[in-house]
Amino acid sequence: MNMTDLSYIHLSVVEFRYFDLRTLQEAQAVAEQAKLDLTDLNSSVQSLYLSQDMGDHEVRLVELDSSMVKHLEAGNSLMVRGDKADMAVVCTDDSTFELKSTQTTNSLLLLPDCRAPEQLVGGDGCLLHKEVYCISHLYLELKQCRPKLKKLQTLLQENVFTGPEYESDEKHTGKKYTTTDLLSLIQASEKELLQELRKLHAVHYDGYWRLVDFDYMGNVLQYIMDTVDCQSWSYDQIPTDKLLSMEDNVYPRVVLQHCLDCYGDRKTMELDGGSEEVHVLSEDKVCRYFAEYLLKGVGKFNLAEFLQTWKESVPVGMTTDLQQLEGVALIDKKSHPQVISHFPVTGLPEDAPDRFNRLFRTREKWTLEDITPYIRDLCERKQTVGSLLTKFARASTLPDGTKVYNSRVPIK
Amino acid sequence: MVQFAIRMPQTEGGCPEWTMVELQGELETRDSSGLPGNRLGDLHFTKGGQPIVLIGHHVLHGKVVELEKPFAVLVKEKKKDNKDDSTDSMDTGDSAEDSEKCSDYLVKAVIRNKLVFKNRPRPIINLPHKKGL
Repeated sequence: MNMTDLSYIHLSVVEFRYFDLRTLQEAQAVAEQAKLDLTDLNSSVQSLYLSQDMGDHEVRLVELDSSMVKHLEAGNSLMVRGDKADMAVVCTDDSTFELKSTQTTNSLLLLPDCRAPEQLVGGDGCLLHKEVYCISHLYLELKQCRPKLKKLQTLLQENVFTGPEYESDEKHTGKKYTTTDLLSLIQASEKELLQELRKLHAVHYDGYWRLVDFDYMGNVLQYIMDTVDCQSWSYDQIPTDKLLSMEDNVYPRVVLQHCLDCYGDRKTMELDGGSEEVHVLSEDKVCRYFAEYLLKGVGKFNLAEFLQTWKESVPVGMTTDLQQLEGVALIDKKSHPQVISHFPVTGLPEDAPDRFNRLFRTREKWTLEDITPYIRDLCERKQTVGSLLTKFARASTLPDGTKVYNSRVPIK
Repeated sequence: MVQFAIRMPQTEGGCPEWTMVELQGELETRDSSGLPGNRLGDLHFTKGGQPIVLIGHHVLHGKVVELEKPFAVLVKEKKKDNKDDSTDSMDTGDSAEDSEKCSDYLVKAVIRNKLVFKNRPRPIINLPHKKGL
């Protein structure tokens, strides 16, 4: 906006009464004075008045996209959620948008009843009085963004589920949260919230969302696998209902179902006599669990030893692969011997500059292959890993020809 | 955290559609009478649908623009208990620890078109200055 181009329009003092007896002829006379070609004009004129109580009309202008307008027209709401530290966001059912206030030097006049040219009466025409409701220099824009979900982990860590028998003990007096509770505290849409809860393996127990203790989850998983072995079922075809309905199950149905969903996929099998719901245990997810079990709390693990131990710990028939540990563990190939350590992406900051700072503090130079699993989730809509790296990192080439990335800014 | 809704009251006939007129710069009165209550000017349309506005001693030629993203005109819903709601939830970060319920905002109207006047205004010469009437 070029400030020198501003044209200040001086409104003549008009001593007419409000809604004066202005006539069409007067308006046309002024138009003639202004050298407008009356034959090219629509015969009707709208005379604009600034409403008397303009100053009392406090409005907010918000730019919405058409789908949001339709959403509102259907009777739904848009939720605005504001955190004291951050700016406010607007949430639909499935997306989150940053609310940004934009100032303009232009005057935005709002007219409730202005007629479009096609709505003007033909023939001899008439003078219509139209009010300006208010004038604004401010409007709010919406820009789709990643939901702010880090807080969710903090909230759910107040009361982690370790089994029904411990629910009343002194370690479980922390607050518990329902979906509604969470939506009033987290800047995210419902769909995004539920997605994150699934990612964190949170269980919906007794109406509350709970993180499940890692070791407890392992016990449940082991129990499921032992049961499958005992019953001579296959990991690829666990009959869901049969397993959940077994009389002497050591764990609650909800918890078993949750574990099956976290470490397996649902499938409908067509068999003689109808269809059956089964779970297919995921080799990748199960192996990942065992790896994390070994790596947690250990610090650095000798890579060769780890690979051997890991292979031996997973169920028979399952194959381990380092690819399964993307975003979970980091291998230091430069150390002698090579080591591996637990480094889950879920433990890292959600704000991009902070994330990159932590990554570069952990390791000075990263290859694209190594860093991608740790920044992929930072991509806003239409952003790529490449563009993130261009923004937050500096590329260079090592003597051996490898392309690496390091920090652009001093590391904090 | 502050949380409130933006809602569109469901009325017969649907949500009103308003128009926006966008002018460069500020409107001022020559004396200190202030803007409210005054006549602003006349809005003409050419047969081709082009808007022309006469304000004070200026002629402004503009165009009708269909907004890519419509505007919603929001007003704060009045609280039933008439509590003085002095916080403007759209501006401030809240100071309360827990989630706080604020007034909802209602969509008073939707704006899908604007009349934009970007061209340099041309002066009207010899405009007779009427007193009284």
